[in-house]
Amino acid sequence: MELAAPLPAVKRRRQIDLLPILGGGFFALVIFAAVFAPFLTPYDPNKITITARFQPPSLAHPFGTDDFGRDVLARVLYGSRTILITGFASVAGALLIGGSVGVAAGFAGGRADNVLMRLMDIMLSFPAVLLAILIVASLGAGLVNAIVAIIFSMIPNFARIARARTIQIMEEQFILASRSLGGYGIWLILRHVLPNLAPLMIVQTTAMLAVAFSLSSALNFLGLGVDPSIPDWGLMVSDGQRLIFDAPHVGFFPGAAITLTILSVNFLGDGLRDRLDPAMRGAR
Amino acid sequence: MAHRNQQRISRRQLLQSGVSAAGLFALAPLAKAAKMTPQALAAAAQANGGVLVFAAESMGETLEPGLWNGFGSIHVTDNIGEGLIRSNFVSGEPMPGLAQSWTISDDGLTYTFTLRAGATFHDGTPVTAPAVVRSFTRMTDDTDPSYIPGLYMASSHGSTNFASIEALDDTTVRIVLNAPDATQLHRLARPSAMPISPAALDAFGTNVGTQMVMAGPFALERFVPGQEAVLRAFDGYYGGRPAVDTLVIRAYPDEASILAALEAGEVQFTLYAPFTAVPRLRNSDTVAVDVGSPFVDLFLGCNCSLELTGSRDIRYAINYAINRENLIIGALNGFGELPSSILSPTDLGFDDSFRAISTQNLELAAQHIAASGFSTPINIELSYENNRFWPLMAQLIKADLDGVGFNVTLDPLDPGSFWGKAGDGNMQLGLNQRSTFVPDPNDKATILHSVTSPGALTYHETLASAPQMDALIDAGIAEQDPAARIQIYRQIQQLAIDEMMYVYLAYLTPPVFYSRSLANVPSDSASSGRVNLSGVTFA
Repeated sequence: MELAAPLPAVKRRRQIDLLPILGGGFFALVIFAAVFAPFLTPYDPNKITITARFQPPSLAHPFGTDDFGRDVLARVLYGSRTILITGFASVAGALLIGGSVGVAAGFAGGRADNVLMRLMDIMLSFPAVLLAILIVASLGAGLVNAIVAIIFSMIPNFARIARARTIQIMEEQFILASRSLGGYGIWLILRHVLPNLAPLMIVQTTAMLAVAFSLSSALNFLGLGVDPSIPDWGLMVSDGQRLIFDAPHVGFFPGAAITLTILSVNFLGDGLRDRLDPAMRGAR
Repeated sequence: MAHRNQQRISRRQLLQSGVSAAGLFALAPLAKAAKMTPQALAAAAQANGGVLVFAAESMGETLEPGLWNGFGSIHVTDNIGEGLIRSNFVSGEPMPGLAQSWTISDDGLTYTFTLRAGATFHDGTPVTAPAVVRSFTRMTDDTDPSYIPGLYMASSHGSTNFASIEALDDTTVRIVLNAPDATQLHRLARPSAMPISPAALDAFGTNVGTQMVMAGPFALERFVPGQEAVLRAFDGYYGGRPAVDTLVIRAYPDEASILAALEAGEVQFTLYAPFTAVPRLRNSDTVAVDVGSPFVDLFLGCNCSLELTGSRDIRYAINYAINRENLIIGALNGFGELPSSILSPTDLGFDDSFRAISTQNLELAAQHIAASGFSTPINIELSYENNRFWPLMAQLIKADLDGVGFNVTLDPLDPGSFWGKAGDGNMQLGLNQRSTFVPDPNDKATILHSVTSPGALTYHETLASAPQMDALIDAGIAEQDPAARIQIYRQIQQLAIDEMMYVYLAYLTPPVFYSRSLANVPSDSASSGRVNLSGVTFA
């Protein structure tokens, strides 16, 4: 009886996914540009030189100049500050409020859970952009109001995920064990719920960061965000819109910056999800 | 479980699909445009009966002429309507419209109009004197079925000065004024004075604004509120049927869309393409550009009722801080002239000597700030409509004012919010314009009158000089002698400059964009915002 030759061992090679690395790298560049903008360009982003208007990209002005002769590269570099401040502040606020609501609802259960989550359902029934526009329209334009609007539009997303995961965690054996040893209330949340919730919320935070960048750009594009004299990518795209056939560089570069930044955060989020989300472990 | 994971669409796949779909979506119109050249599109339009598409910046929810509904609605009314009088924007003379002749009494109070024989409204109803009279009185007579409270535009054609208006017979209308008004004939050329069919007023009542029946060269075939109006050439027009069969006046969401539609041949006429496209379009084989006359004043209204902008020194400091050359180049792309006063260079009595005051002088700006008693930085808010060239203009003004000690906060608003805020009286500085709707100096000067034009941007009724200004404006209206009127309007301009409630920024000379397939385009009057396309033909 001849035995079949053993199959050659299949080497499980750990695949390196380049997209999260590229995404993370580009996003790090954006942060670097925001922090060190004054050292990366010799131009004042608000300096008006009417005689130098609409210059095409050149060595002196790699992204060209706009209506007022302002250097577009300088404005793109400084404009990264606005979108990053708005995005990070919005996500931090929404994470804090939405996460707290979700954990409270999941932990308390019963009527409190029902009331809080129906409230979140109502907020979710409005499209995020529309809700943000409604809030800014009622509060008035401005950076702070734009951040408040974006926070409100993202609270339900954090709340729902935090609640669902909290309910899962509360059914785990270690919670029962902890309770039997006298663990209760806030202590349980701080000691067991939050640490187990953190990976999922990190993944959700990166995903919502992209949404916040998109909403920030949309509000500024519509003139509902920062003061129009402040460099901002959404505003620059808005200004460039009417110039699309005659000076396309004015809107193209900030538009590309928005697109690449959002894509990079999404790719980074994908990578983090693959690493941190329990549901994705072993799926790839 | 693994199977479910394979079936699930990852976010990455979703992103890739989205990007691909967006790309295809963006390319679709380009592919479509590539198939049909502009010439082919224009030829197709002619073959389909001569369809002329006019791109407007907006379209109102109604065509009710007793209300201001934006320029889109005005363009429709100017093409479906006809007043007793027409204004000639080149000569400045009143011309016969539905009235073929008129007489004015020696005291300037009684106007007697003889209507043109055979003129009819679009529904076939004859244009008679009783019909004309009813069109005027419906705006103030609450027993008329078409009456809506607050049809304030009636005052622009002089209704508040009417002692009486009556039909002497079927073809004679007599208007008696309370006080002489040298500009009354031109007032009757305004859209609000264009007669409406009495049958339509009875049939549609207060909804007549969406089913307007007038007596102009085109008849309203379809009106989609907020979007477009489709007009059909009126066979019964007294001046002869327009050459173009169908005129579509359509609102476009932004300047870039208008430009794309113009270059693709989808649009044949517009005033609202971006000025930045003009240098390129001058070399275009398909699109022509004419530069209009300086009919439009651009200004910065200073609210005289507030503590800060109520200071004359602050208003003068603002005036001297602004670099108008930069505004004309940077915001208007060169389509403007340096301003002199409230009147335009084409107006009777225009005084050119005030241009020097509208010149940047940082030393004088600093002196006026020091004299005002306010300590720098002086916080001030600049409000404007967030469309057209206003945002650019606001940014340039902010840079100038910040440079002399102000700290300007920009306040971009939608048009409704802009006028709402102005009406509340809390707007410190507001950017706006005044177009020449009829070629008479009172058309501009009237906004300085504290009784007929209170509030708005400047709240000039709070100034001590308001009675003096009112008296001058009233005298300018009452005076029939042109030479004497010139002297009065010079005094009005001087007083307005002394008070500086309006800081003049530029005279806009707006370009008029049209397809080279068109001939007889009324560029001069069109640059005022009054566009009558009845004489336009396809070349």
